[in-house]
Amino acid sequence: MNLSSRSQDGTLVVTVNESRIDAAVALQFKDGIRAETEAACGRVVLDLAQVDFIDSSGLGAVVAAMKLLGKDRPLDLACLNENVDRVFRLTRMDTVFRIHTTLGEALAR
Amino acid sequence: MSSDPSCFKIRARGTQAGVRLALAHVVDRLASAGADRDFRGRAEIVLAEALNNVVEHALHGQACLWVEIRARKGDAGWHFLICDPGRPMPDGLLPQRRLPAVDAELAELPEGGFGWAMIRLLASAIEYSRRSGQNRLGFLIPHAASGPG
Repeated sequence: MNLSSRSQDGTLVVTVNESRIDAAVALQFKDGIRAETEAACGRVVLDLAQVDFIDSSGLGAVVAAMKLLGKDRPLDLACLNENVDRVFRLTRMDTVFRIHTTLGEALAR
Repeated sequence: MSSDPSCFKIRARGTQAGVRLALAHVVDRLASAGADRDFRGRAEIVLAEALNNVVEHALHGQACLWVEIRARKGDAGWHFLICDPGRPMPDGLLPQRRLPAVDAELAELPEGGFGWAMIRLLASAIEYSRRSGQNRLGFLIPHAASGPG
């Protein structure tokens, strides 16, 4: 699972450099997030711009990542493609995550 | 393999990697048959969830087994039929699962249970039968989305 991260104004941006978060990589995704956010102490923004597809296992892994980070390190999402956004809306998970249209919007707040 | 783009059959190896590969083929074939991006997105979600369930529960790690996906374009939408030689559905019935509640405390948020709920939201005419040692799951995905899909 190819993830990269950078810190900006106290927010850690984790970019998913993959086109899919599915059952085949859900565990690697969770482990990858754990590794990338080890040193994070504030908000984390997950940049999903390159992700074209997420299934229920991938969604579960994103929820697991949010729980792993805990209340003090809220996990926001940014740049959801049409079909990824659909999965969050269908499952009502769009009411659980703060979702930003662009990375600029995510960092502006 | 038929040359008619509105009817095709694809075989998937019974692994998560096999599902990935088969989904890519199905989406390509749907595009060739003129299905739009929105439809292909909905179809990929439903097929992914149905196939992942087959691999995880029916085939249960038996990677030597194959799953067959048949697709046929109709007036209302595309009809899909997924056949696998794995274990039958418990009690021979489809899971009636609804969406798990998401208005929960952080630690209690659900990490699973979304698959069948999404299938039921995006597909209709869902039918399951067991015939000649095979599971057969049929469903229709409408050409145009209805509701929140």
